[in-house]
Amino acid sequence: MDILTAIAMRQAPCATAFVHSADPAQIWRRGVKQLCHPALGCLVALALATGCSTLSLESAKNLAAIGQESTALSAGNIFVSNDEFTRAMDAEAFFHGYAGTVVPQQLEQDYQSIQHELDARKAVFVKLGETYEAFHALAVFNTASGVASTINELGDTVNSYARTLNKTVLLTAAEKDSITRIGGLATRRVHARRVARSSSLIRARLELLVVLLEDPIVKTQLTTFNQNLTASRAAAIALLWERGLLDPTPLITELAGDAGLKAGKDAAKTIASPAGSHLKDGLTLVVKSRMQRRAALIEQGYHTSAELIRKLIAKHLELEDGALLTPAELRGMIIELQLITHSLSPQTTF
Amino acid sequence: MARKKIQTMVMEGTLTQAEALQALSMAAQSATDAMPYALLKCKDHAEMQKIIADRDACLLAYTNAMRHTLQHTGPLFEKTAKELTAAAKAVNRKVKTIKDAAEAVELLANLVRVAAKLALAFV
Repeated sequence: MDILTAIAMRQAPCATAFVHSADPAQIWRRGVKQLCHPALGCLVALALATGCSTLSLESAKNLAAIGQESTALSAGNIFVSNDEFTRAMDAEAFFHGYAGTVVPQQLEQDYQSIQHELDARKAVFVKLGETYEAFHALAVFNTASGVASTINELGDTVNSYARTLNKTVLLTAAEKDSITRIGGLATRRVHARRVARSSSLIRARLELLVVLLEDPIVKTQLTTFNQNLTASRAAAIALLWERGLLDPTPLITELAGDAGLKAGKDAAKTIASPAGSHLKDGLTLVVKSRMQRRAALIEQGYHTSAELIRKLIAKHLELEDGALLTPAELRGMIIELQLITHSLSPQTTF
Repeated sequence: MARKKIQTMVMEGTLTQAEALQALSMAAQSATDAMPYALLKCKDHAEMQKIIADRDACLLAYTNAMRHTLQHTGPLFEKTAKELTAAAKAVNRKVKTIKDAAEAVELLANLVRVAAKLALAFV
């Protein structure tokens, strides 16, 4: 609705036909005259200032919840967990020991320092999760101080990450008190304005974060480190498999699962016998394919995580524009990443 | 900030640090992937240790590059990175056909030589 229509609506709120048929110039002149009336002037000013009151607090609550979940999922896909790191180190120890040697000290030190350095960057995601938690509290209880401080801290961690990359694009000065300063007489309106302001501040931080994540060197560092650790674990599995130390029956059962069949009790023995060499070749290929798919998913998981941050940015904009965001709609955003995360979990076969 | 690129004197185009790191990572992964099959062909620990040492050298070239700020590289950077990619592919091909310990021991030798050359480009 433009200003002319707004003024016209105020002149004749029940006569929309009049709004559409009247001469705009005439309406404008009348409107300006009416605005000179102090009471009506206040009403128009109020109407212009209450744009935020259309913001849905329920949508903000839903977005905060999905923001927390997205943050945890993305961090899980982008960063190597301590468990994955430890299993890779165990694999290194295994095949070095197999060859009668030990893991070179330099390699251990390099691995430790890289893991430590990359893990420190996870702080951005930890803070983002806390920010969404505070944003949720703001949406539900109108508690502004918590979200203000976590948004500032999030800005600091994102800036700190940007500095490690010598990025010149940094967030501007902290927005201290900008949310708590928002006040007024109408509680609902103040609440909505605080949520809108917080949403736009979170969005600005997400926009810088996604730029950092999409930087080719950042992406290469994070994905290749994960892929090399996966390769170490896969090499240990390959060696154990080739030496006949792993039980193939679960794999055979999975291959036969569609028909409701399972591996027979002598299956492992048959495969280990000279007559079973072709069977072993077939199963070896399955093992290799699985490990290769896992390695490929690392890059896909990273890409999907960055995409998810972009989707969150878009949803923040929609929220600020007064859109209704339902849990079902928001949940659709994270399904792909959930599937990748599930596929990459150690217990999953695919 | 503009991506850091390395102009080469021997080839057209540029190579980003990310691409160089990717090439080193691919070499390290190829060496790790091939290692168990090469180890299985060895007759004694001495042969196995040669293979493990070569594989570790490839991995160290990558981890060393990761640790550094990746700021400066030499003019032969792109050529070396391409050479490294070709060497990594050759390892992937050869591992399927190695017949004896001697071939197993030699499997990673060229890869580690080229990886070390590229790693030196990272200051």
